[in-house]
Amino acid sequence: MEPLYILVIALTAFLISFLLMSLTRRPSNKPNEEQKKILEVIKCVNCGFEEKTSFKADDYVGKNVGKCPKCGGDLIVAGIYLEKYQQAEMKV
Amino acid sequence: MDGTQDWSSILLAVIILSSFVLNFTDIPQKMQFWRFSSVVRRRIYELNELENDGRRKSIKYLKDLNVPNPKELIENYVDNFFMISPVDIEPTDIISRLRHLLRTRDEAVKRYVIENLKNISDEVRQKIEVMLELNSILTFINKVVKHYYNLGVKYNDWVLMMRLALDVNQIYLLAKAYNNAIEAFGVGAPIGDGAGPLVVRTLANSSEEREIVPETVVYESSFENRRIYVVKAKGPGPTVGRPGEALEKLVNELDGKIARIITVDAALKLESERSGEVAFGVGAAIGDIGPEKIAMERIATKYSIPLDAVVVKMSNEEAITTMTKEIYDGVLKAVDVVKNIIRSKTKEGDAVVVIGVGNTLGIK
Repeated sequence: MEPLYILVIALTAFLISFLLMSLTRRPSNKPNEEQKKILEVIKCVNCGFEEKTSFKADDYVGKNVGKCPKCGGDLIVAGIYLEKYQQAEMKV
Repeated sequence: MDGTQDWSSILLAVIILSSFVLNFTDIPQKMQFWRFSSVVRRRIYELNELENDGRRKSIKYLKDLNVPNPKELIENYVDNFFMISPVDIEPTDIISRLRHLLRTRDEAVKRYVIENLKNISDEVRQKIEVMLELNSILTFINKVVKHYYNLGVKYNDWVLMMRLALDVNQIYLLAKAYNNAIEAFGVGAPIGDGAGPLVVRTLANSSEEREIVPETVVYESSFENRRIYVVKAKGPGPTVGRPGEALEKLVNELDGKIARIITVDAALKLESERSGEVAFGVGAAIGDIGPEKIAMERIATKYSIPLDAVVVKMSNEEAITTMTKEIYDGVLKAVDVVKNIIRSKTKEGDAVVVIGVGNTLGIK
């Protein structure tokens, strides 16, 4: 086969595959698969005892949620945040 | 003529013809216009979906509160309650005019919610106000994108369409953040913008709060033999309060006998920065459009009180959705930074004001 034919065929194949790739590839806004959980940090105002629990509706930072199991002091919600557990990501 | 020459001639003719078409006709622009407009059209469908999804979530939340006509409540809010900026060509008293307009609008929104939902707590009212505002923003974003898309189609403006196609992905992500925020406000846990209030709440310990100006409270606490006045919006509802006005009143009450004012706020990070990074500097850390920030600067200047700023960095989406672990870690670091400033820049017996600026959802 003539080298010119090969060049034309190769160029055409490259252009078609590039066009197909750019048409089929879509920008993805899907976040990676991840699990989310809202946690509460509970702290004792006396001894500094600290524990983490799941967030309960109507709880807020500064809320008194009971007595400390160690010293009997007031337990308050010191912080609330969202913990994300990233799952293995598979890139295509 | 052999076969090779035939092919060569055809190829040459094709190249010349293509070159003519590419250089001397509008066909490439038409093709680009078609491609860019299809990108924008696809995003418009997604923006519509985000807007509808936002409505669905809000209606569900309002139905759970036994609101009789949630759809009407949202529809009558969206597009209304706009605010026209004051005249700025004559800047005299612009701050007081702007403050007046902002307060008037806030009052109008508050009255609208109370008229439609009687006997609700301040916290629920504030949540509904934010939810209405978020729906309004989603509708506005959608309308603006459609406006420029329609303009591009109407005038065959391929430059406008190209510009829109390049920007529409960022616009979509912004709209998605506002859509996610509707859910976050419904949950009631602190959001990223609550970093400032959370930092100062940690310093307030278990002292009692006093409402110094509407929706803003002050705590009197102590730290290493210094008196600490902690100012933040009144929680746990989603409000930002009036930190500037509160600071002005507090400093005047204390006759200016304050050694230092420290402002703590969330700040938008650059793409190269990590979420939860903490930085400190000088000035009033507040993302206000004018009245509250200038009140802080004026009162600090009046009594020559040094004004420090501490910021926790985050993205736009993180600022309006439930606080992440990275931001929470940043809050803990910011608490240490504020304590270090108090230790190193004030002496025992001094009084210090620490202001937590931001939305206090989920933080009392």
